[in-house]
Amino acid sequence: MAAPATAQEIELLLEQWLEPEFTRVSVDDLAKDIAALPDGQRAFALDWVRRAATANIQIGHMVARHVPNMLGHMDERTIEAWILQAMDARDRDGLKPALDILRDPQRFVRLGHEHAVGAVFDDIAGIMRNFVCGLSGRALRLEQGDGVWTDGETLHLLPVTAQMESAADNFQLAKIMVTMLWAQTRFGTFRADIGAACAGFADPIRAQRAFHALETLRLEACIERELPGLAREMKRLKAATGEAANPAWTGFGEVLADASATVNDSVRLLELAYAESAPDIPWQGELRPA
Amino acid sequence: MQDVELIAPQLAQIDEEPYYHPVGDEMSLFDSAYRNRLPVLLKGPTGCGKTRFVEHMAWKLKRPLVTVACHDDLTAADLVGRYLIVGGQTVWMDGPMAAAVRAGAICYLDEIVEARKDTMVVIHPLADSRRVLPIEKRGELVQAPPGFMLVISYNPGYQSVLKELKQSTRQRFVAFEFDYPDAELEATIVSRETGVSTEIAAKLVKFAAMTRNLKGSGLDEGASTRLLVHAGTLIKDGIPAVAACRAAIAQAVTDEPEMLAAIHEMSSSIF
Repeated sequence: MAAPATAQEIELLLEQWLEPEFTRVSVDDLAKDIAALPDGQRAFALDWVRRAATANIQIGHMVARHVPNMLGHMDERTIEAWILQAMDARDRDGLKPALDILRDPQRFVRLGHEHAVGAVFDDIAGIMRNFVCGLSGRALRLEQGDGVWTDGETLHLLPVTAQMESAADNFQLAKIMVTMLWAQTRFGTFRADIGAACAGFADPIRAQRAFHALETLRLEACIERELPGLAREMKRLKAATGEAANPAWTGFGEVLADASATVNDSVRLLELAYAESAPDIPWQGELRPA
Repeated sequence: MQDVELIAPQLAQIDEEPYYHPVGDEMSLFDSAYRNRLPVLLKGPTGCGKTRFVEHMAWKLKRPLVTVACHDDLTAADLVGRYLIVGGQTVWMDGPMAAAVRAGAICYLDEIVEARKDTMVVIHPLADSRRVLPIEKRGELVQAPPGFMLVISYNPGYQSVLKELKQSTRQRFVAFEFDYPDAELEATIVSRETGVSTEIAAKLVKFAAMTRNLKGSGLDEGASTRLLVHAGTLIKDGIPAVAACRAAIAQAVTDEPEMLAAIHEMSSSIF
């Protein structure tokens, strides 16, 4: 049976499914948006509004509101997955989590992309634990956390590493992050009193970011000497991010690339680096000194 | 039984010097043990050069070498010999140990803990001041000539309650421990054995060190020097380094998928 074509016909259906006399939510604008869709998309939208409304009228209403716009830039399978996830959330956790999912379809798409190409912690943790044990000769712990950082004993990675476009690159990025965290413990980042080094600046948080960026440059050079294959991957990924090099930071990098450079050189350069905008290095993570 | 023909295999000497680079004082210790007719026990992980060392010393001392790779089913009869029927005649065929004793050779029993316990019946009298090999079935007691030397080896890392060397055995031997050489020497050995550059050899050694860090944390053993030589040989033959490391080292040390992946990531990080 052909899907209703006019806004009036669709409005009648929406009044039947979404019960506006009880919800006090107007459906005429929704009907106009759905009526403007091509035949196939219109049938798809109405089918899902009807099915969602049988589960919950508010869910049906949200589907009717978002789907016409989403069909312009998203495939139907993704939209189906989004609706089904919301309906599952309602069955499992109640209406509010379901509405949270429906209010932000872009977030669902972003998470979907992350899970499709991202390096999921649970999937890579076993490999990374062995990898870092091989690097360090001791069993550094690896845990999932709210950031990429280390206290010198435990390395923390995000639940999903997904800044890159492909699954292979995201795995490499996670591996580089783990290596950078190991390098902080191996090459002495924490031998400096970071808090004291940053305390004298007007903005100590900005100073700490600058110090961390300096240390990242120094550790990149250490990694290049120790693990040239990984350093090649770092250069490739850096090129892929396309960030233009700041001449001042290039100069800092040259100083810190010297094999004799230590964390004290990063501290020494901090005053100059503080004045510059710190580069955005994809594997830098965070510095959380004790 | 006196008219039974005895077949004793002819043992050849090693003509070409097997490459061996000393790590410590093992050569002078071995030499002294040989001159003083003391048996030797070599301890160390697999692939660290124990067998090559014995080959080198046999060449240096100009003695024939009989090597026996011990296994679960190796019996005293396998070492000493057995009667065979050949063309309707009963003949006695010396086993490798009896042949080594008669020829005054160096007899090397590799991974001795793998052998069955009854082998100790023939090892013990050879490894103390008596230096005799009892051949029970022939009613013969073969006195070892001055040139004979008994060498055994085992890997303490593989020991279990069921497979350990008893004190009554180990306390008959002069024992010295082998380990992998230091990084610089190991790279020299790998380069010399395979023909790869010292730079590639150094990277292989660094890779091996990373796998050795995993011993006890998922691996029973890290990559041995022998495996590095295998990988170096493949690289010299044109195989890309990462592929050579995967085939010659990673796949050789583990079957566990996550460990394989981690070891592969190590080699790709180094090369």
